[in-house]
Amino acid sequence: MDDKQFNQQMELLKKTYDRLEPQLNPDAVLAQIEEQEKLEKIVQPPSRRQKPTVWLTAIASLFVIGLLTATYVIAQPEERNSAKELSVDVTDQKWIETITKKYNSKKDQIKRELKVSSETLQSFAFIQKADRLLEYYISAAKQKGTEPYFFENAEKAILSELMTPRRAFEMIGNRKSLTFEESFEVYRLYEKSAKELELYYNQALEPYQMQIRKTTDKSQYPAKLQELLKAANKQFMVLQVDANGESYFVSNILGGELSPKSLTELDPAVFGYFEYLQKGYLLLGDDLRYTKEETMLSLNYIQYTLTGTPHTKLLEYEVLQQTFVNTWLAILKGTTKYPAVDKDGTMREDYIQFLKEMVSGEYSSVMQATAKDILVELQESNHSKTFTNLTSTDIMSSIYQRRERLKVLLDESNYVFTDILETDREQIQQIYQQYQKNGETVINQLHPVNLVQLYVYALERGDKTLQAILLLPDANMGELSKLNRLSYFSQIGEYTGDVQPTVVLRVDNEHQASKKEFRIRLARNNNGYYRIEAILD
Amino acid sequence: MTEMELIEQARQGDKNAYIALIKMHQRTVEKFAFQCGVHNNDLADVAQEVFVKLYRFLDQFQQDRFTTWLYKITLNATRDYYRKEQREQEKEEKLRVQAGAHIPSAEKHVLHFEEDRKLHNTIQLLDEKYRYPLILFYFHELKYEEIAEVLGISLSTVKVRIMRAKEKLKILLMQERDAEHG
Repeated sequence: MDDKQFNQQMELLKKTYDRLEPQLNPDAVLAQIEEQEKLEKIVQPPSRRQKPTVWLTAIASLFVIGLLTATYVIAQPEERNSAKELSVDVTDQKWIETITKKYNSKKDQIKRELKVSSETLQSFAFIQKADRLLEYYISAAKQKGTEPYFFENAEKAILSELMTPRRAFEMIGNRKSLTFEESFEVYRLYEKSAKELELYYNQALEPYQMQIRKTTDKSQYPAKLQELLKAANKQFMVLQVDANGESYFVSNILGGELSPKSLTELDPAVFGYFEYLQKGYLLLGDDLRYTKEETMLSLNYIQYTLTGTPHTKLLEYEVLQQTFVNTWLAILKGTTKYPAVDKDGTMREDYIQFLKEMVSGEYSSVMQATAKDILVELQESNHSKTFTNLTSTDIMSSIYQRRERLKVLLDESNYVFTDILETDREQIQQIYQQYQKNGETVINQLHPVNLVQLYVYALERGDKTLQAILLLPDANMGELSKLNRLSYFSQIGEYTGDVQPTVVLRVDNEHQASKKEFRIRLARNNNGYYRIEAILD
Repeated sequence: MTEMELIEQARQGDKNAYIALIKMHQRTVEKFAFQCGVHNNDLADVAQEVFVKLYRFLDQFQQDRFTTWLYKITLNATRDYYRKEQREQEKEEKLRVQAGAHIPSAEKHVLHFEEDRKLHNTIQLLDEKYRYPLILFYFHELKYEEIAEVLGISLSTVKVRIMRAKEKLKILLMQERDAEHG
C-alpha cells in the first residue's frame, strides 16, 4: 500500500466519521449539572487576598468524587476501628444511628478546636457540605440497603469531610515518606477548609487591628484576641502585617514558622498545590501579582510539581501548568513592573542580568535553555528571534521535554531511549517499597522498562526473592548480574512494536567492560504478566 | 454568537449559552470518543460526562485553549470509560481474535462500508500511544503542536509516533489483506 492509497482510505473514513449522527441530548447534560448543583450548593465567600474561583470548582468536583468513590481516602485509625465495629448483620437503622452519633461527636470536637460557636461552625461551607454528604448517605442507606462495603465507604467519605488543616496533617501519623497519592490526599483534606478558615479568622481579627498596632506583646492583648491567635496558629496560620500596617493571617504551610513537622514526610511533588492554594494566580492583569522574588519561589514549587508528579491528568495539574506557562511568558516577555525592553526598543540591562542569572541556574531549570537562547542571540546580533517568537506553546514544550527527557533516536534500531536519572532511581525505590507492602501484584502492573530497572535494583539490594519473581524459569542473566547498580547504567530504551517487548540498558562509560549495552527480552508468564525471559546477544 | 461569547455567557451561568456550546462541539466529542474505541451505544453517556466536567472547569479556559481542553477531557473520559467497565482488555482480545471476521453490530450500524469498518477496527488494534496521535492528525486535522498539548508529549514525539502509527497501520492492513486472500 503506498502513501496515496493510504491517505485516500483515511480520507474516506474521515468522511464517514463526519457523517455520524449526534447522540447526546444537551438537555440531559443540563439536568445532570442542575442535579449536582442542588446537591452541592457550595457557597464560598471571596477572599480579599485570593481569587477563589479555581478552588471552588476544584472543591465542587472533589465533592462529586467523594460521592462516587473513596479510593484516595487514607484509612483513619478511628475509621478502621469503626469498620470493625460494623458487624455483618448490622441494620441500616443501626448504622444511621451510629454514623450520626460519630458525626456529631467529631463536629463538636472541631467546634472546640476552632474556638467557634455552634452558629459559626454551621455557617462554614465545608461543614454544610459535610452535612449534606451525611444526609445523602443516610438517604442512600435507606434506599440501597446493605450492599457490601457501602457502610465502610460511606463512613470514610462522611468523616473525612469533617476536616481542619491540622487534622489533615495529623492523618500522616507516624508514617514516613508518603507516596505521591498519599501526599496528595493530605493536600485534598487540607484544602477542604484551609482557605475558608483563613478568611474567617481574618474577619474575626478586624476589630482588634488597633490593639495589634499598639503593641506586639501578645500578653497585653485581650483574652478573646489571644484565644483567636491561638486557634488560628493551631491551624498553621501565621499573623503577618501588610504594607498598610494591617495585620492578617496567612496559611503559609511551606515556608511559615508554624509549618507542620510532618510536612517533610510528604512527596515534594505536591508542594506546588499547597503553594498555589496559598498564592492563587501569580498574575494580576498582565503584570506580576507578587514581587519577582516571591513569584520565582512559587514557580519553583510549581515546576517541581509539574515535572515530578506521575499524575498529569489531574485537572488541578492543568491549572498549575497554565499558571506556570502564563507567568513565565509574562516574565520573559516583560511586564510593566518588570519590563524587558526600553521604549527605544533596546533590551534593558536588568533584564539581561536576569537572563544571565537564569542561565547560571539560579531560577527555573525548565526555562534555562530558553533564557540561554535569548541571551546568545542577543549577544550575536542584538536581536533575539526566540524572544520575539516566544509563545505559551514553547513553554509548554519545555515542560514536556523536561518530563520526558526523551531522546528519540531515528536510526534503524527503532528504540526510544531516555536517560536514567536520580529521579528514576527514586521511582524504582518507591516501586520496591510498594512491592514490599503489597507483594507480587505490584510487579504484575509494571511496564517492561520498570521491570528491568527493578531487576537491577533487586540485584543492588541482594533481594533474591524479587529477582526470582522477575525472571522466567531458565532465564540466564549472564554478565548483567555483575552490574548490580542502577547508577552503572546511563540510558534505557525500549521497543514495544514486537509481540515480545525488548528493553535495552546502556552501560555508562565508566563501567563498560566487555559490553556496552544489554538487550533484554520479556515474555508473558503463565498468568499473562510480563517477566524477563533472556538477554539477547 | 461566537464561541468565546458563548463561553463567557455560560461562565455567567447562562444555561442556554452552554447548550449552544454543547451543540457546537458535541459532534467532535462523540466522534473522537468513537474513534478512541467507545462503543456506539455508550457515546451519549461518555459525551454527557465530558460536558458535565467541562462545565465545572469553564472558568479556567483560555480562549485559544478551549478545543485542546475539550479533547483532553474527552480523552480522560474515554480512559475512565475503559477503566470503569474494564472493557479494554476484553475489547482488545476480541479484536485480536476477530479482526476482520466479525464486526460488532453497533459499529456495523454506524459504519456502513466494509472498508471503513476494517480500517476503523484495525486502528483500534494500535497501541494507544500511536492510535491517539494518528486519530487527531488524520481525522481532526490538529496541528502537531496541538496534538502535543492534548496528549502531553513533546513535539518530536508526536511526529515520530504519527510516522510509526502510519507504518504500523499499513503493515496491519496488509497482513489482514494477505490473510483474506489466503
